[in-house]
Amino acid sequence: MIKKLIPVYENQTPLVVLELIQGHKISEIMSTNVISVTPDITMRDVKKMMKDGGISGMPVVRQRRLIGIISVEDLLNALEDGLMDDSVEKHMSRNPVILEEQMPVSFAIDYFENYSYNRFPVLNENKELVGMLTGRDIIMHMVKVMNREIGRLEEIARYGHHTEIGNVIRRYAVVQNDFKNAGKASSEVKTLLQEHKVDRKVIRAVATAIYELEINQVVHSLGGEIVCRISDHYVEVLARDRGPGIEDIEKALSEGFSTATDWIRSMGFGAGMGLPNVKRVSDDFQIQSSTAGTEIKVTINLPVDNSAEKI
Amino acid sequence: MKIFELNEKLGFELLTKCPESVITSAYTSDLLSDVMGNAPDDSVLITIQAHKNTIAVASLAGINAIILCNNRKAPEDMLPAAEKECIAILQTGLNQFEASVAVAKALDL
Amino acid sequence: MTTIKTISGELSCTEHIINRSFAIAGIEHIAASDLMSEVLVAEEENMLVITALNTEQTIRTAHIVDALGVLLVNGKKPQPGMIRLAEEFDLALLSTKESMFESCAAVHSLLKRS
Repeated sequence: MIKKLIPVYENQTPLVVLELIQGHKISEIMSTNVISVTPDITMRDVKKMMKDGGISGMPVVRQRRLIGIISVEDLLNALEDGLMDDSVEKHMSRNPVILEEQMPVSFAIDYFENYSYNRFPVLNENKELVGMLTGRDIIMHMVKVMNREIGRLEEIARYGHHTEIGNVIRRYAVVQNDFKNAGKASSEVKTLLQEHKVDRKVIRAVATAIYELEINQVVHSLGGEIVCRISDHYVEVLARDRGPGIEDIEKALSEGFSTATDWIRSMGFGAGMGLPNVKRVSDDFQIQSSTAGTEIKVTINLPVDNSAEKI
Repeated sequence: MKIFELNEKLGFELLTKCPESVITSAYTSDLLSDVMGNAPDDSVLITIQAHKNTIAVASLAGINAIILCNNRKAPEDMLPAAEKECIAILQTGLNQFEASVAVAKALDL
Repeated sequence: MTTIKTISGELSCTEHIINRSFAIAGIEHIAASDLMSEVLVAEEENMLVITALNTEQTIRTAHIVDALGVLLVNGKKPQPGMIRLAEEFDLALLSTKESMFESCAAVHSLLKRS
């Protein structure tokens, strides 16, 4: 068990910092153009490669499997003992400490804190070497994300003192007949609003609207997207699809009317309540449709005194 | 229980002619495949599915009456189809849960 | 008070997910439907969703209306993914061999008794 030395505790750490280190995977920040060696080359070859490449350590790989690490230190020892014609296999460190590409960046930070190595090999789930991670990779990643996040926080500090939500935009692609993934947008936005302690009834209205719009695109369109904009005072949901359009909008908005097939009904939809439900829960509802596509814009107001419940 | 007796107890709105057939049990569902496979003979179907296909399925499953919940309107072609198959259509403002409870009480199930 | 646990006992349910805090929370309203938009019409709190629809969308819908749990009827087993999602959203998930009609009648008499 590795002792946690970094002062990051899941309950007290600001969300931005957590997002910075937990929300990204090692695969996103590691170097993938890895120079590796096979176990049968000589230490003399290694010396040349390190010198030419300006590197201080290399993974030793046999058929994509990592079997060891060879470092400058190993090279110096071999040089001292006059064993430069030995194979790498004889001098490498075996059973190196490794990272997995699906681990969050926080794991890597812990590793650097706990081990004296300067680099860690990264393996995929098939235990194949897919990259290397150095402290430099982590610093570059941190600077990039910090730039973005602190910029966002400054924006909020400048324009919105009375709510923590700021101006969030979320975009979701919707695929025709993809019942499996429908509802993900509404779940995510619901969680986001819950985190900001928005009134439960309002959250339910927003989640219902997004969900019905997602299902509507899955069932009736050739595919489209849902864009949610959450500002200080309202949530705006824009559902845009690529057609084929609604023939009779008035009918589509009347309860119980549906053009759904029996197959769609067997999936639990097509009650003819989709758009009426969206309209019922929204403060503003606009719809346009042609054969090129349908665009529905819905606004749901957030309670004005949201600031009373700051986190 | 005869359909007209049942409806007297329930006080729902009868949209079709009332056939002489009897009701001995009830089934609540909005999935037509489920109705086809599981609804008992001589039953009343409690559903939200107000369309013509419901009649075809009901007729195959041996259903004698259909209760449309939440005041769901029957489309024009549904009522003649029901009468042709000797199926009564009743309408109520109750939802499926409330209608099921009312029918259970009326049929003493 | 009628809890998920009382309902589970009354209808001899298989308990796929049963959250301890919800097991003692009182069910006050029932949404019984196989069409999810009908469930979304409900505006009540502390609901139990009774349905034969055993897809992930049932769980998503129950989550949106802040329901306490889902009761699958006709002996329907949860589809893969349903249990995981119920766990994620903190929803109780039960199955019973009874039909929706019988479940409604039984749950109603429990609600009336308490």
